[in-house]
Amino acid sequence: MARYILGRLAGLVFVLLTVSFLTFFLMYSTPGGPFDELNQPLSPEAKANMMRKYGLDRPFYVNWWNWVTKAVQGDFGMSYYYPNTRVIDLFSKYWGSSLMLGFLAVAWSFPLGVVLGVIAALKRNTFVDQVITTVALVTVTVPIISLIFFGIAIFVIGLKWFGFNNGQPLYQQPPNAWVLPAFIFGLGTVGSLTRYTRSGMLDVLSQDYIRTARAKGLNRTVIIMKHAMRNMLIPLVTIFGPVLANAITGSTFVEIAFAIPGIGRFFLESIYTRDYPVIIFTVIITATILTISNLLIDIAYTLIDPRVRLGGGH
Amino acid sequence: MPRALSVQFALWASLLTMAYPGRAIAGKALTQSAIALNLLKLTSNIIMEDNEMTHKPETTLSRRQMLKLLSIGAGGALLAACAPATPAAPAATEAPAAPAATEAPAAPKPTEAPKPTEAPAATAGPMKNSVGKVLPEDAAPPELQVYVTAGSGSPGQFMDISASVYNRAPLADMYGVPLTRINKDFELVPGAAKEWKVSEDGLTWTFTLRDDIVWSDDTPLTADDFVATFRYMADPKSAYDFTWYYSKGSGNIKNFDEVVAGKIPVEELGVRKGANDYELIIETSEVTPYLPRLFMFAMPLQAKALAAHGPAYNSNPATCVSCGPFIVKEFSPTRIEIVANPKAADDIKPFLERIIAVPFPDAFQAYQAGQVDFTSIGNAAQVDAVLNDPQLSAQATPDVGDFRTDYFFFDVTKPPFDNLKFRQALSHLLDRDSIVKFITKPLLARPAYSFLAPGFPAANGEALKEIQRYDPELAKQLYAESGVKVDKLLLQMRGDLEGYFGKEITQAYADSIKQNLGIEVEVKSVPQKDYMADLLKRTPDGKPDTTIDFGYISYGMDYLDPSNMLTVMKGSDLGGRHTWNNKEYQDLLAKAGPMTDIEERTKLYQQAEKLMVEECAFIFCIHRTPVNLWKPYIKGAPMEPGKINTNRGVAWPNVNAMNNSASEIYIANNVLEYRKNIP
Repeated sequence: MARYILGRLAGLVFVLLTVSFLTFFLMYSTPGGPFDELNQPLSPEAKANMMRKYGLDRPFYVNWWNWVTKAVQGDFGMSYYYPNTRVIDLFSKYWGSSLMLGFLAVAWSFPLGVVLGVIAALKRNTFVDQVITTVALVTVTVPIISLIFFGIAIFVIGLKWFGFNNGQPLYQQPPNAWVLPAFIFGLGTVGSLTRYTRSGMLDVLSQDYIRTARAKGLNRTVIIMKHAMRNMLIPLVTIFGPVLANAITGSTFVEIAFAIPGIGRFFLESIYTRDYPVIIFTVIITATILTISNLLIDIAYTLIDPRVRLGGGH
Repeated sequence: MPRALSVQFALWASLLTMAYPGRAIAGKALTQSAIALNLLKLTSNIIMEDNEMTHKPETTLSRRQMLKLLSIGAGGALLAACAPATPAAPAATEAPAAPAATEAPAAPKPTEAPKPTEAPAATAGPMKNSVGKVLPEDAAPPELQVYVTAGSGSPGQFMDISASVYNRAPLADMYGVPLTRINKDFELVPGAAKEWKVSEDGLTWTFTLRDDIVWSDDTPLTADDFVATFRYMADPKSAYDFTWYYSKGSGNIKNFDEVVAGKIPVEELGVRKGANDYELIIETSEVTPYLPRLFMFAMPLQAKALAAHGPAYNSNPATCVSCGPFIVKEFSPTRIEIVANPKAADDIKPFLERIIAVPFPDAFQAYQAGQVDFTSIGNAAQVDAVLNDPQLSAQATPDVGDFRTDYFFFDVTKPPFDNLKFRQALSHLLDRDSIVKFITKPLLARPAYSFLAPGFPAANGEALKEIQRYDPELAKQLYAESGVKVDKLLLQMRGDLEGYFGKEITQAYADSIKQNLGIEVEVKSVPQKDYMADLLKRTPDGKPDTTIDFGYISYGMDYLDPSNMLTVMKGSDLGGRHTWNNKEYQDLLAKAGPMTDIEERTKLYQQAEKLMVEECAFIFCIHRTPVNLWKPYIKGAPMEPGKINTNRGVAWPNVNAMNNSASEIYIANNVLEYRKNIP
């Protein structure tokens, strides 16, 4: 097990090097740069000064290697757009809002999704099941941008129950700044969870050991809670990883629409402004979180299902 | 009261409160009373009902009762928390008594306002804000003098135009006084320079600075600050992003290009201190009569702070130094707050106590939600929303903005656009009147038949109207005569123009070409940065290397002089952005630039513009008249009608120290009718 984990962590280094190299390649291949000539053109000399200032007069692989050598020492560079700010400081200041939004969304949506899924499975092919699966389907298929649009139009502009963020971290805001974004952010998760849980539960309920338990005359609650729930944890854990990673790395759409100062929003802005240090750091952080969450899921499998063995065995 | 009735009562009171914010206080009181009554009733009912069911003594709460009560409590708390906060500011009736009309100026012009020392004591006389400026009679109390804006909506690092033009944060340019300024009628007025004169040969300018302007660290604003600022902009190490402005052909500042190129040291720049601390000498390489016009962008950086902390010193409250109306209190990428500068000169001190900028991605939505005091609109959905809402319509006023013109252009070096008759044919297929009538609506644009918009010096659109008129039959004839045979064209639009009807306009034009000439036109929107990188791409030997043969783009003025707008079309040979290099046009610009005879100069510029329109290298489409929405409680001299902006004078560059509007607007005492809280 330990060997397996070490192997996966070593693989992470390779993943990060590859991802960072590709990101540098893409960033430097895109036309334009972290400067603008929106009105009249600059003279060739003035443009050369700009290129030199941002290091764009060097090949991308040289800049990539410089970045790698500094990054291993914990120096991820300074943002081009935020004054005198290290990229790492920018993240430490604004990640909190993304985390809060993500955890609030998961906190309400994950349990609700599981409960609705279980109810739908237990009431299979009844009216209740149809209502739940329809709602789940709608929340999964309707793009989050539409939900944001309607949410803002009805509850922010129309009824004025909620407002936009005022630019300060989310945890310093009153509930009317975070209830609606957290609700919208979590809606998709509810739908996915409901559908996963329902199908997982139906699968488990059709297993022989459940039939045996029923034949033994066990209480229905005991059958569901003790025998069925534990065995349907694997599909739940599988989906929980990406859900959590998504929550941790922020929702670009929700953060931008509600003016929430989170890292999802900064990532998009950094692409627009060609803030290369922010782009590369966000990509690396996201890749790290996804890789580690996958590793944790694999480890969780072994705890939930003793039949699963990592790093060899069968 | 029966429970159902009280629930309805609460519901209706809530709806009333939401629907009529102006009656929020009464509505809120009703709502809260009803909610309290309801909760009380529900609580007692739950306990009674459950006790009846379980026959338990009334003093003991069951688990079910407790859960219900907790649910109600949590729900109530959540609702209460989500309800808009009550303004901390006092109600209008609590404000200090307004002075008699004769004691205070009716119009809040700074020159008319009594000096702080002459103002009556605060307890008896007119209200003064924290920096001692007497507020107008109808102003809200100082604690409500807060203006909230979405700013530019994009991030930025610098707070001064002299540090960067394209990487400026919202609320930039409030921390200095430029050499010159403009008033609401776009007239040139003194700024930090109280007067200026030019030598007989027209090449040496002497600006005499005011001696009463001090920085917030008590050091005076002197010529040394301006010298340091110009040197910073020219220094190759700074990589300043607006160097073209002071280069040859525009500002013509002596040695500016040579310093930028690193050929000579910054000390040899043609900007130096004169006979004393308050005399600034600026030399130009050519006669540049419009130079004072350019200097509304000459915002000083403090020499001492620039040397100690670099050009972003105003992005940090700890190092901010200001001689303008405001100083920086809070700076972050998502929120900037600035407060009145107590050390500002009397005429520069603002009425406002604070300005807050939150870069809301959609400022119009934030405006509708009551979270900002100002916004601009520029797309069809927003226009419809405004036109269909009487309240919003009343708050909306179009103005000339920066005299921006949106236009089509061709790469005249490549076929088929090197054919004049083909270009002329295309010029007659743009139905500007329909575009304005059906797409932009007349509120947001005027048809453009030339580059210079009405109101801009040397504008001559009416006289040139026939040259590129909409005439499909003539277009067909010219196309046949041109000998050009093409099946398909690619029209590339700069992506940011989507924000001003670009998609609809380009598609309408494409349809017109298809319908009349049978040429398929593919419309492609390209992100702004990519677009400009392509348009300005040059080969190593400086020749244009762009792939945009047929494009849609815009330009708005930097300073109010024909030389600014018309040099955009000077041609790539002279460092311009387009490939139309017409010697006659270039000669006319060169001849007109240094002329001091305004009438003769205007004639030459009009001649040049006529030539440009006839050559059809550019097809002019619309002159924008951006619509700004201001909350009714924003008042002050700039909000009064102007000569050019006849609805409200305040316009480009908006609330800013370049035009003194930042010092002159204020919040009127009806603010509480509209704004519930300050973000």
